[in-house]
Amino acid sequence: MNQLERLDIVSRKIFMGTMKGERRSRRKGQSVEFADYRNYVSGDDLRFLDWNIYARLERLFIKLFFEEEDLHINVLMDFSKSMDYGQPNKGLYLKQVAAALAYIGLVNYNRVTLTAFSDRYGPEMPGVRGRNLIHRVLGYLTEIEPGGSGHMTEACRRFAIRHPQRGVVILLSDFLDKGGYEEGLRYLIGRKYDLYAIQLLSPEEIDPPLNGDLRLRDIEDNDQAEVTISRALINRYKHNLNAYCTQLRDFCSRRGINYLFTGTDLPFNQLVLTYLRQRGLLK
Amino acid sequence: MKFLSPWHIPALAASLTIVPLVLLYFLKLKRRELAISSTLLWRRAVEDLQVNAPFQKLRKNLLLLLQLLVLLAGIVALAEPMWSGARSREEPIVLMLDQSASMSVVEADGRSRLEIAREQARQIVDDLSSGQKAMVITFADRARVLTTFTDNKADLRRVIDDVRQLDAPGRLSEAMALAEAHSAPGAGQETEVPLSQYIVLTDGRLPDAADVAIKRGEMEMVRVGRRQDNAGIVDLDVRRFYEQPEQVSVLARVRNFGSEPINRDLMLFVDGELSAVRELGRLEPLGDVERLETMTLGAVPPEGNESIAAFELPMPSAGRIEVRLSGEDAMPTDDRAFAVVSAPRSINVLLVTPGNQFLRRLLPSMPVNTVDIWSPQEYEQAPVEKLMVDGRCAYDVVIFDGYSTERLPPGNYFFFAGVPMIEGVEMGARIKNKVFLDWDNSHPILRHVNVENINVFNWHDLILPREARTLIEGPNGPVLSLLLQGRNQYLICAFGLFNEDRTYLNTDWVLDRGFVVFMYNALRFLAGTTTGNDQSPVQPGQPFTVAAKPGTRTLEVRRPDGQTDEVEVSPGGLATYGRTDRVGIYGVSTDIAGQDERAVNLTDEQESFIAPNREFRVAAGDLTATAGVDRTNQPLWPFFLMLLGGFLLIEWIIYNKRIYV
Repeated sequence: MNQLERLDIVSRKIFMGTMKGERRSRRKGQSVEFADYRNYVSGDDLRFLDWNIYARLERLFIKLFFEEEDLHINVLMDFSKSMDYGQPNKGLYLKQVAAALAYIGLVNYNRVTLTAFSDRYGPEMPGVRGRNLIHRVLGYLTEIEPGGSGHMTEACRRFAIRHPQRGVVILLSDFLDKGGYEEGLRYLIGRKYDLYAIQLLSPEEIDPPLNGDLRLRDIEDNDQAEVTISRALINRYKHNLNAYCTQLRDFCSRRGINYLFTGTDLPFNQLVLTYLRQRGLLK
Repeated sequence: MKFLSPWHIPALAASLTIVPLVLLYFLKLKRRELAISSTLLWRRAVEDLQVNAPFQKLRKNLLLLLQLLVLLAGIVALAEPMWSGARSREEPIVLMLDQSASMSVVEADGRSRLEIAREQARQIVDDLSSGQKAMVITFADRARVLTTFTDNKADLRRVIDDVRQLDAPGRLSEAMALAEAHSAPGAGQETEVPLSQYIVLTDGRLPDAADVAIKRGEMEMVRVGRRQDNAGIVDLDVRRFYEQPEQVSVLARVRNFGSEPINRDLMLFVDGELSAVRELGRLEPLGDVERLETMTLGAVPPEGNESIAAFELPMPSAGRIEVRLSGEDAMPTDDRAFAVVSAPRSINVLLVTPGNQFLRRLLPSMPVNTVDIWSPQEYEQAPVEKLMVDGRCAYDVVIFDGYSTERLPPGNYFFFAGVPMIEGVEMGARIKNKVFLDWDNSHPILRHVNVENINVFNWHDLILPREARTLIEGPNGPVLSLLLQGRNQYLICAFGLFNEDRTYLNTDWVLDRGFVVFMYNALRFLAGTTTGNDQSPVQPGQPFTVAAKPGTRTLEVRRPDGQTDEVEVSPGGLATYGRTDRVGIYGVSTDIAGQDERAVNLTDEQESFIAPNREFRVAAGDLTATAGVDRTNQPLWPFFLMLLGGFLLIEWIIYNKRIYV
């Protein structure tokens, strides 16, 4: 926890917050840091008049200061049934990552919103601030369970509608969505979020330990694929997985999305303390 | 390949396994269900591979194909397949091929017995294991080694293909002796020589087989042939009448050796022209089919089994006689018999004696042309031209009574109490008051002569060469002997008709009518070789001897098959020809009357009895008899089980290596 407390989520953009916080906002407000002058108009708070200038120039100017506001950190979590797979389990791993990110956000007085989605949007934990609300985050994460088929496009669309406030959006998913991820990401890009896409895959998905004649059943939609496992098939699968991930990374890179890939066999603390710092999500 | 199991067992197994397998395969392959996070990438991978992999359908069915092969191998193994292969032999093999006359029988499939035997011999050679040696011996009346032990199969096949059919009778003993001689370890040979396997390819009609003892190794008799129907001329006697030399008597004996009664005619040809035909009537079978294959030919034929045809015909000059049996049977060789009849010629006899009333009176009463009587002095002083004609003695027979001489031109001599003064012949001590111990009744000279009744006071011990044939034997040695040396023939009697002083009789034999018979036989026998009236019969394989004029070095022999051979004349003026392997008349290029043709006839009952012998026996030794090349059924099911295992292994490897989708 102490190690997490030293971290902070990096936003590559400066956003306007809703409440005062510890992060500089694009909005001018009440802080100690001078920003600019402007002419006085009636109704302005007389307290911000610069009397020294008035003495010299006999004109009224208002001193403007940078406003320090909070940052919106949204963690968008894929809790479709496919996340309940693998050893270590992807859903559990996702919860751990989300909890860590939320905690880092709360510690730094950011507004943290957690949103899960599967075949439907939600449940959502509205924005919370302050470390003393970490129990709400944990309670929320404890209650949600993976289920239903993933529908990323719809989830992203609804999230974009419901969250016009720009901020950091961290999308945690395996991105193995048969409906595709491109359209959903485009919805998020449209809102100009500072967007992080973290792809989580289990070791079983990266290097399937399969053998024999199998009927593979998709745990999300019960789709079945009959295969006879062979070296060629395994190689082809790995090749396709690699191509899929590369395609996702390229898609993200071209659109300013920070893409991160991790397997659930990577120890969680190493992911948060080392990997996410190296990739610039945390500092 | 054949199968021991009844056909319904593999058929049932096939229907119970193959059909369900194919049905199951086409219905559904049972797969293990496995839940995964998403089938998205798997579907793409499968589609990619299906698109990229060539012959996808075929490869998909490879496992089915392998499973079918596994089942097929199992079913075939269940059917107990057998391979009819040669029995595995490691020991050296001696192949003995019978090429006797009976092997010329053409069987139902159109091949002769010899051809069948050759094919089986080739089969045995083909089945020889690597490094295994074999040798080939052919035999009829004589045996011949075609090749000694070799492992060169090409050589063995070649010599087997070269085995020719002979008309000679079959005899095994010589072939066996040769085979054992080649198989026996050599002198000083320390290494152990493996026992040989003697494989005799024959119809089993080998009369001397019962005397053959196998000393080393084993014999396997491969019986060839099935036919039994044969009738043949088993005896032919052609001679001129003594009283009427221009008349010829022909006697032919015909036997039926088959299992069915037959009706045949016998035709007589003189110099190629049909002269007479005799109906032989019904010839009864020798026995039924089963009996013929197990019986041995007895001396007395069953009632009605044989028929004798007699012909009498005038023949004032020399000529060829041929008797021919009508109809067809399995062996044509014995359906013809030949004889050569010389022009009638009387015997000229010279009696050299100091005086002998008995012989002086007896000889003119014999069927002789002239009888000259000389004293020993006259004989010794007679000029050569008076004593010799054409390099031979001018007389057909010269009888010396109590006189020995060395003046003996080529001819026939009969000595009483004397010996020819030639090397190896001597008269020894006098023997008195002894009796004869043994005598040879079967010899033509002693035929119808009662030797028991002969009483002789004394005779001389005879010292003769080993080749002399003893006709009467006394306690110390021969009393009457026949000696052949070169062109000379000597009949030597150890006793004289009178005592040394010629004052009283030395024997009472001269008073017995048996003496007349003896003299008649002796003259006939001794003169026979020169008059040619009744040449001794020659069987195929036996040599015949002809006289040549002085100065002749070689004679040409025209064979019945059209070939000609050249034979050398010995210093004695005789030529011997041995390649009498064909029945027929052999012409000889000699100008001596009666010597220019010889007839060779099979006339062998044992050889004409062609029914294959199922009761083939030898005197001693290991013998197995089979009806074909000894081929054994070698089980093949272990190989099919191995095949099954192999298919299973391949299937397992393919399945586990995951090579195919």
